[in-house]
Amino acid sequence: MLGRPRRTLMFNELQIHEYYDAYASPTPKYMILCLPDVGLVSSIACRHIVMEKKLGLVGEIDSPTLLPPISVIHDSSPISPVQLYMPEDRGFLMVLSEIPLPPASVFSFVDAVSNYADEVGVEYLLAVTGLAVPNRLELEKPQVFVASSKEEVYASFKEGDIEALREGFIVGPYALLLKEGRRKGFSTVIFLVESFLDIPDPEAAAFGIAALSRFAGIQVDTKKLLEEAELIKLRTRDLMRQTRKAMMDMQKQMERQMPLMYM
Amino acid sequence: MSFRDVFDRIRKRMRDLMEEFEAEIEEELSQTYSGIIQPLYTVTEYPDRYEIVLDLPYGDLNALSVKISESSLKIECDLVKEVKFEKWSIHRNVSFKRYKVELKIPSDADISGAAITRDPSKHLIKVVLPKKK
Repeated sequence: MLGRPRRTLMFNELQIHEYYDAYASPTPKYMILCLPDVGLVSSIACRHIVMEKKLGLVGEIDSPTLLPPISVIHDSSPISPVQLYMPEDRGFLMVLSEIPLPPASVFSFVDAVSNYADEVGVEYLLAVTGLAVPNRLELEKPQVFVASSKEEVYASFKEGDIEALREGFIVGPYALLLKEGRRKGFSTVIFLVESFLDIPDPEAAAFGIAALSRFAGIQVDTKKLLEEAELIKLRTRDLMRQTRKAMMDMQKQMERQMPLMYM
Repeated sequence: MSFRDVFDRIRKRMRDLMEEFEAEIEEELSQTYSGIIQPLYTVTEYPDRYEIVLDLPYGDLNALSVKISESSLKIECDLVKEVKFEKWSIHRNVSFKRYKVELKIPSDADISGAAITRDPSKHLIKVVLPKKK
């Protein structure tokens, strides 16, 4: 069971409790943000990475005002539903939420997490999420798109099967992560995989992991994820329902619209 | 309208919402405790049709029952095996064995043209309901 944190930092009204030395060497190069969203692509992908890479729980995030009063029990240990994970080689940090963020908290949460990433010296903010398409059932291989806050990131994807997201709306925490990243000069890279909107999509998550692995060199085998796809869908049914409600509150349906200034 | 009337209306609306919420939770819980789960589904409206995709993980699509009436679409399906989550305290004694859901059909849907396709590898089904001309 986790004991008392080594250090607690406050960003906005968000408390980040650390159980690790944030300044030890090497500095994690990437921070992967995982918040329940379209098709739970992000949640399924990141849960698999935590399990497959045997990441250690190194921190938790809480807030008296931005997050609901929830404690999640794992192995009889009460922790926040928003957790920080890291592999032994300290290659990356992962912020994983087991609950959808309340829409009113999204801006403060993303702002605080990006400030924390800056504090600990992370170079890239990464995420994998779903891009809802109505014909997902007919797609054998979902397309992966990339959106970034930095022009040079797009250049690295010029060859290969990952397409740059050229036009369109993005709604939710990842939309803010991109905007804030550009304004603050962070390198934010979001992989968007074609997926169902409100049905958990482990297959899309596997494609997202592959894109993430290629960009950040984090090798993760997705065989087990695909084998357990049915069980994962059953387990994540309730989270998908809650996430659907949160997405509707955030006007997620706007992602299907063409922007006025389409060029 | 007096302040009292306004507050009475707000109180009534809150009471209605709470009752609606409680009914939803009670129905979900009573189904869950009897091993029945409501599948996730997504509805997409096109100019000429409605498409409903239902997710039935571990569903035995050979034992799928689909009943369509003017007002509702009822879907039932057994799981190929019972599923239990023993470490999940509130459901530790529950075996999930059957999917059941009843959806309201939009009034402009033409049920005579309904078509169902199954994807057994992904345990998904799609119901297409054309719109009345």
